[in-house]
Parts: sequence; C-alpha cells; structure tokens
Amino acid sequence: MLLQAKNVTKNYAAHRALDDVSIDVREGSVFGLLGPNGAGKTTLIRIINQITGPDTGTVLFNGEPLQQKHIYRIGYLPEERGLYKKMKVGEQSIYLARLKGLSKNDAEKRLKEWFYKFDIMPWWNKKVEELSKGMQQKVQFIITVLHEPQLLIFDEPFSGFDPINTQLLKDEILSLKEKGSTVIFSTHNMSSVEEICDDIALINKSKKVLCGSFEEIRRSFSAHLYEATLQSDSNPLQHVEKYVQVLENEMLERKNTYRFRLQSEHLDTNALLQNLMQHGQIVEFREMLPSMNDIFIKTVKEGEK
Amino acid sequence: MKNNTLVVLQREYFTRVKKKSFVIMTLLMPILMVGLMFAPALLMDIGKEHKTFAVIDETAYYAGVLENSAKSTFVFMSDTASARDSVVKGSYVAMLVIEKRNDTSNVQNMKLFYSESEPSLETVGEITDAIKTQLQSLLMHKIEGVDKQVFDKINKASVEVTSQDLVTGMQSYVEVKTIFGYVCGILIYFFIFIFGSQIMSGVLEEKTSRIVEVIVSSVKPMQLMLGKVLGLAFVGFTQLVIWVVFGFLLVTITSFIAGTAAAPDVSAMAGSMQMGGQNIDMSAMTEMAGKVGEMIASINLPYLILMFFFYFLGGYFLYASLFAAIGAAVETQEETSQFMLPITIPLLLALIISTNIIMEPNGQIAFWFSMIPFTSPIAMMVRLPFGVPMWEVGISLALLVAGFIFTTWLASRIYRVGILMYGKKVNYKELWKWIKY
Repeated sequence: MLLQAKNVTKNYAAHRALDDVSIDVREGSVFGLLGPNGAGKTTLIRIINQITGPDTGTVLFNGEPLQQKHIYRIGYLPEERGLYKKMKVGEQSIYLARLKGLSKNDAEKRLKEWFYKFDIMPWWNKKVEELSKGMQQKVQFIITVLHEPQLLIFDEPFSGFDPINTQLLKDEILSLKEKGSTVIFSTHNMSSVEEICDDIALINKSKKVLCGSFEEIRRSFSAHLYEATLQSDSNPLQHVEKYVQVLENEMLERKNTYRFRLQSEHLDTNALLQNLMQHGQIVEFREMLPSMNDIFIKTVKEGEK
Repeated sequence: MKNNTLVVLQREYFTRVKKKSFVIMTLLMPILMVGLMFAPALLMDIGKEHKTFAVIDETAYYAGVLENSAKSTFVFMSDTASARDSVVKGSYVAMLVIEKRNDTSNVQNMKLFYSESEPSLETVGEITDAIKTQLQSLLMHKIEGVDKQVFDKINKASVEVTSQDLVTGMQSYVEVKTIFGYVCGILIYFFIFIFGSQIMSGVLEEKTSRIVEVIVSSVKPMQLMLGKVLGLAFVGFTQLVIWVVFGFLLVTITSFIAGTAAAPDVSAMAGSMQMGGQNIDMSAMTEMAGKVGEMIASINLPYLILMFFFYFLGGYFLYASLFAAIGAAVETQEETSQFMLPITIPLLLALIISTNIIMEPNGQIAFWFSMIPFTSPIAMMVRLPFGVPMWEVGISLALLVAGFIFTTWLASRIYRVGILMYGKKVNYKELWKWIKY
C-alpha cells in the first residue's frame, strides 16, 4: 500500500467532517475518491497533504506515518485553484516547483519539456491574467506533476476543461499511471471514474459507505440483469420465457432480430445459452452491470433514508 | 523545510523590488519628505504680499522708527487729505496716523484707516512693537534723562542658557533631539503602515486567486507567513540602505565641492559674491557648518541609529504578522477596514502622545508608552535622544521581542484557518474561535 488512512476523524467546531474513515491506496493504482458535495472529500485530501491534521487516526505513506518530507513526494491539484495573476507564467511555475523541492535549473529544464509537449511555450513570458482559463489549467496540471511525485492527487481535475483538453488530461493521467505513479482522483464525473479508476471509496456525510475495487463493487451492485439478442425467423419469446423471466422484449430494425431483457438471480448462463441456441442465432449476450452513476445515486439516497 | 521559507522570501523580495512602483517610490520618497518639510515655509512666503502704508506722524518723533521690510513699506507724509485719497485710490493699503501726545504721557494713540482689507494682526503687531520701543526710549529720556544708546543696551539685555552633559562635556541642543526623535517616530509609523498593508494585500491576493491551497500543500502556513514578513522587511531594508547611501553620497559630494571651491580662493569668491550684490559672509557660513556639526555630535548618533534599527524592526515584526492575519481573515479589500482599528489606534496614539513625551521625556506617560510593545517603537525613539537609562531600554526591547513573538503566534493561528476559509462573514468572535482551534 502506498497510502493508508486508518480511522481518521476530524472535527471543525460543531461539525464532524470525517468520521472514522479508512482508505487503502494500492501502489500504481488510480483511486477514485467519490462523494456528494460537503461529504468530507476535500478534508481527507487536505489531511493527506498535511495542510491540516486529523483529530484521531493515522495516515501512513509507504508504511511510515506522514511527515514533512512526504510533501515532496505528493503532487496536489486542488479543486479551488489559481495562480498569481500578475506574475509571469514561467517565473511562477519555477517558484511553485521550487517549493516542491526542485532546484531552479531542474525546474526550468523540466518545465520547458512540458511546455513544448503541451505546445504552450509562447506563454512562458506572459502574465497569467493574459491566459484563458483552459491555458491556466494546463499550467496548473504541469506544476502538479513536474516533480514526478509518487502520489498524485487530483481534486475535480476536469472542471473548466473543454472535451478536447479533458481527453488530453485523461490520457496524461493514465500515462502517469503506466509510468508507476499512484493517483487519487476525486470527482463528480462518474463516467470518467469508470474509465480510469481501479479502486474507489465513496464518502457520504463524513462516513465511508463504500470501498473496494471498482469491478467488484459493480458486481456486488448487480441486479442480475442480462441482455440477449437472437436472430430467428419468428419471435422466440414464448420459448425464452420457458427458461427465464423476461422483463422486456423488442424487435430490432435489423430483420428477424429480437432483443430480450432477462432477470434471474441464480442464472446458469451456459445452460441458458445452450437452450437459446435451439431457437435462433445468438448475436449478443451480456450481463447488464449498473453504471457508477447508478451506484453513486443509489448509495447516497439510501444514506438519506 | 526551512529552505521553503527562503524560497517564499525570495519571491516576495524580488517581485517587489523589480516592480516599477518600488523604483519610483524609492526615488520619490526623499523628494516628498524634503518637500513636506519646506512646503509650509514656501507657502507662507507665497501667501505674503507686499503692503505699503501711508504714515502721518503728528508728533515727529517716530521718523525712521518704522523700518521698511520685505512685506511692508512705510511712506511718511504730511498731508492727511492726499494720504487719504491715495488709500482710497488703492496706492496704499492703509493710513497710519500717529496722534499728538503729551510729552509725559505713557500712552501713544494711533489710528489705522484702511479701505479694502484690514492689515493682518501680525503687521499691526510689528508696528505697535516698534512704536512702543521708541515710546519707552522717549519717556526714559524725558523723565530720567537716559540716553538712547543706554536705553537700547538695557532694552536688548538677554539671558542665554546652554546645557551641557556633565561627563562628556558636550553641549546639548534640545531642538536637534526633538527633531531626530520625532522624525524616527514618524518613519517607523509610516514604514509599518506602508509595508504592513503590502503584506495584507499580498495575503489577500493569494487567498482570492485561490493559489494558496497549492502553496500550503508544500509550505506550512507559518513558513509562508514568515517568508512574506521577512521578504517585505528586506524590501524596506533595501529602501533604507539606498536612502542612506544616497544621502551619504550627497553630503560627501556637496562638502567636497564646497571644500575645493572654498580652499584656493576664498577672498576672490567672497569678492565676486559681493559684486553680485549678495552679502554672503564666508566665515559665517563655515561657522554655521561647524555649528551643525557640533549639533549632530551632541547626540550619540551611532547609538541612536542602532536603536532605531532595533525599534524599527521590532515594531515592524510586531505589526506585520497582524496585517497578514487580517488579509487572511477577509475576502475583499473593503472588509479589511473593520479589523484595522486595533492596529491603527495604538500606533496613532503613540504618535499623538509624542508631543507630550518631548515635553517630559522621563515622565510617567513617556515611561509607560515606551514600555508597552504596541507603542514603544515610536514612543521610545522619541525619548531616546534625551537619554534613557539602560535598564529601561533593556526591558522595553525585551518586551518588544516578547510582544512580536506573541503577535506572530496569535496571527499565525488566525492565518492558517483564514487562508482556506471562504464564504464566511468573519467577526471578532469568529477570529477568537480560530485562535482556540
């Protein structure tokens, strides 16, 4: 485990921001930290960044309790982010990189590589206030990853990005993962969670309500729904109903093609397929797993009851 | 991690020193200061206009008594009617009639007729003084037979006091001490406000631009605050050093030029000056220069400058972190004013009370104000030229150090919460909660 939070509790005056929250972030994984607004995600992220400390509980980085030196091994892109408006982009980037422990020369060399890569070298000597919001976001992203940290924390990284830049960013995050970085990723954008997260934790009302590998969680939320598409001369509905409960059926535009939505809790899929084969050509058969969006809404709504 | 305070400090220093406004301020401040010092005198001269009076002396005793000066001319006339006409026409401002008087009477009646505007109290005062002196002289002669020369001698009798330090034998010049102390006090006052508000708006900028969360993920809030406070201190220090070096160069160059010019041909220069119609006495000038040197030597300059740096820095550190805390607590520049009062009041009070301190540099007020850390940087600087016992200076400095450690601690508690707090209306009660967190 690269990062472990154990039974972390944090109070702000009368408000409990985190209540006995534990998470495990595997080395080399992308970890999705999910939850509605005000659930306590940012507080947990701030604790990991040592901006604030937990009231009780511990956080381990590489098995060691969090210390000042770990700051240099973490890169953090906060949700509320900005830059000095009057300062030049290059100068400012070097400053922020130096705060993360890079030497001036190192920072400049690496920054120029990234600036060429993102094709924003002409902005080096411009003031930040002259840049568009998207440009500023790119600069912030570069600053976050520049010191090649072991752990990257992105809080709502895609907010304010257009689809093209969002894709660019996703690709960068995945390539960082391939190079061995571990990523903690906090977002409301559930489709991006499905695309890039290995593990997730869902925090609601200061408590962790869900955690584990994304695939396992998805499987555990399975409603045992299946979808079968068959090609047949006549509608095979009455035959199919003999083996399994059919929720819906429709005829597709393609000639002699029928689709069935099936539900069964203890389904032997091989046996079912063998039976179905006798009534037509199987075009497609799949289990319909819930989307992350469904899981999120279901879990949060249950918490409200 | 110590290193990060240094990185912050460097940024604060270089972004400010490289700004045009810094260069302009550094060049303009001395000009402004000198301008402010001479402006009242200049304005007074401009405000004065030349006035011509018509004088009808019915007694014939006062001819030559009223001397023409830069602002007033007296024209003695005998014809009252024509004098009156001239006043009405505007050739003269007013007509002064010195009335007949019994030789033994000690009252001299005069009448001042004016047409458009009444002569100022100051002018009337000068006229009456001159007439009164002449009247006294006349009476002395008439009644006691005292000669005018004898009377003048007695009339101009005066007492001169010089105070001297018993140990060093140095002569004391109270005026120099007053000016030195006051100038130091004012400098400290302005420095704290100018650089304090720069810190405040710097903190506010980081908060409103939302860059602060990125920064505090690599720098502890306390380090960030200290980096800022120290960075600005160096900016101020740079400015002071530039002023001192320039001042020193200016003095050396002028004295060098004056020296080389004066040495080879003093008499020729003196001659040419007289030919130019200006009566400048070279020996009087050198005497004056010597006097100024003596005046400056009368105060212990190295000691006072050392103390100035201590109180200057101490006072700055005491208030600077408080300015940072205010910047962190609010979200807009307008909101800062509600928290400025606790900073403004002690500083302003110290400046106002300075006049009392100068009058009584070792009194109760002076003592207590120079002990309390919030007022001591100004109050003690005003007192110091007059001589303060070492133990008092020691306690005052110790309290100042304790004071700024306390305010820095207090401010950092507010600062670390404030910089990440958005959308909350902050009042003193809220700040107290943050301190207790």
